[in-house]
Amino acid sequence: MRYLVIFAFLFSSSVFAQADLFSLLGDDDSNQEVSATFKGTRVINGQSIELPSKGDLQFVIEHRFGTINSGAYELWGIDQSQMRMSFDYGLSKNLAIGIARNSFQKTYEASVKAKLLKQKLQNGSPISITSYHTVFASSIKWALPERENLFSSRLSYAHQIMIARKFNQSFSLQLTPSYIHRNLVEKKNFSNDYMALGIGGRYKLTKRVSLNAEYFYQLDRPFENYTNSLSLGFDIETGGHVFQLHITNSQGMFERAFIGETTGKWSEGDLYFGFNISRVFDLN
Amino acid sequence: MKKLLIVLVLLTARPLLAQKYMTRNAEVYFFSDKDAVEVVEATNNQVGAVIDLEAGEIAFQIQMRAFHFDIALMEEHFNENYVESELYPKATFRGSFVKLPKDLSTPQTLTVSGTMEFHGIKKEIEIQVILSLKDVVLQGDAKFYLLCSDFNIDIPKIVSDKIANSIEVTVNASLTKL
Repeated sequence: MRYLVIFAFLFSSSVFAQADLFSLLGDDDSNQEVSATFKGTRVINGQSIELPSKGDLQFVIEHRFGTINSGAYELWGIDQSQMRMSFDYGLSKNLAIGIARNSFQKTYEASVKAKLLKQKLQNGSPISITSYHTVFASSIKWALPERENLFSSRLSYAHQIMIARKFNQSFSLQLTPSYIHRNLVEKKNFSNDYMALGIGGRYKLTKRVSLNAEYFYQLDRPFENYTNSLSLGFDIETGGHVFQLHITNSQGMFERAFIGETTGKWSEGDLYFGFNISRVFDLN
Repeated sequence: MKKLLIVLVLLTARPLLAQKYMTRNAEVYFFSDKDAVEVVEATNNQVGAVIDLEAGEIAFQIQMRAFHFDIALMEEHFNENYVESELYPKATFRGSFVKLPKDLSTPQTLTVSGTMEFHGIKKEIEIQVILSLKDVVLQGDAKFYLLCSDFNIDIPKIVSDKIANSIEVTVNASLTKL
């Protein structure tokens, strides 16, 4: 029994001490935000929940070539292309602004993007939410210059809420309810407003390459001949660049165009090959 | 009676362990300047550290996500592509002083040997630590090198001219008595 007392004493001062060191420090890693739900600020055509970091200027050049089924004479579409370039700047951790120019209908864009909710690794929100608002101004010459033409007729708007979850290291999924308003429509019986639901995802094949897919389902279609936008592609990350290579049935690269005015049909092979290249400049 | 004594000894054991020093704000800084154009460096000043002078034990706990870089994209790549901080959220070091002198009023250079666990890999290492004790503050400073290849951190060929395999790590910790 005496030994037991001595043992207890020894136990309390040395062995106990060792086991204690890490428990003294505790675990305070529970409330970290997940990082990089998507590699880029867009999934393919549509925006992702990601924003440029604070003080970063992101320059993106996008191209969509002509239809692949246009044949060898057009080099399967490579001879023609639509392009978009944009500058996005991170004002703060949760707010970014951007400007862009599309060759399609010579359209200018101004946008604001805000992170509303961020997914946490443990204890906390299971999803991230970002909202995106943009105004488009077409600068193409009026079809009938002799008529009275209002500047407001050039404007259209898109509002999107992006809800995403990074399920694990490789797989992320995003839902994108979208609302589009056009001030001027082609025909009297066309609606000025329409809604769509987007779904996009990425699966990382390696640390630096991911497979992406994106689909926008039009809840109400402004015009029968318009189809739903479906795109498949790869993200390839090399240091300061992200290259995105894809095939899509939308030639337009801004929300009003690819959500509402897609004409290509996957079933008929009128698809467009395209790429996005983004480069980040650190202005801090 | 003797049982009571055992309980009493166990209960009063804690005050006997008062030779412990701790901080949650130790600083760990690492850098690599293989390429003079792009320096890879980051600081983490939320590192937890405990030193038990009586037992001669030392423990560090480092949250990988708390390393901050000047360039946000570099921080993202560090977490996503190199240390995989969602899979391996923290690095730890546990070791003991090979020989611990009684008097630490003047800074002493001491050897610590122990186990570093980082990126899911455990490795035995030895580190030289400068330790000094002033009033209730135990100051510990160390500088050492780690090899990315030892910890299975993959550096792609395309950037291997920019990122060195050997990373210089600097630790500064001011621990206060518990």
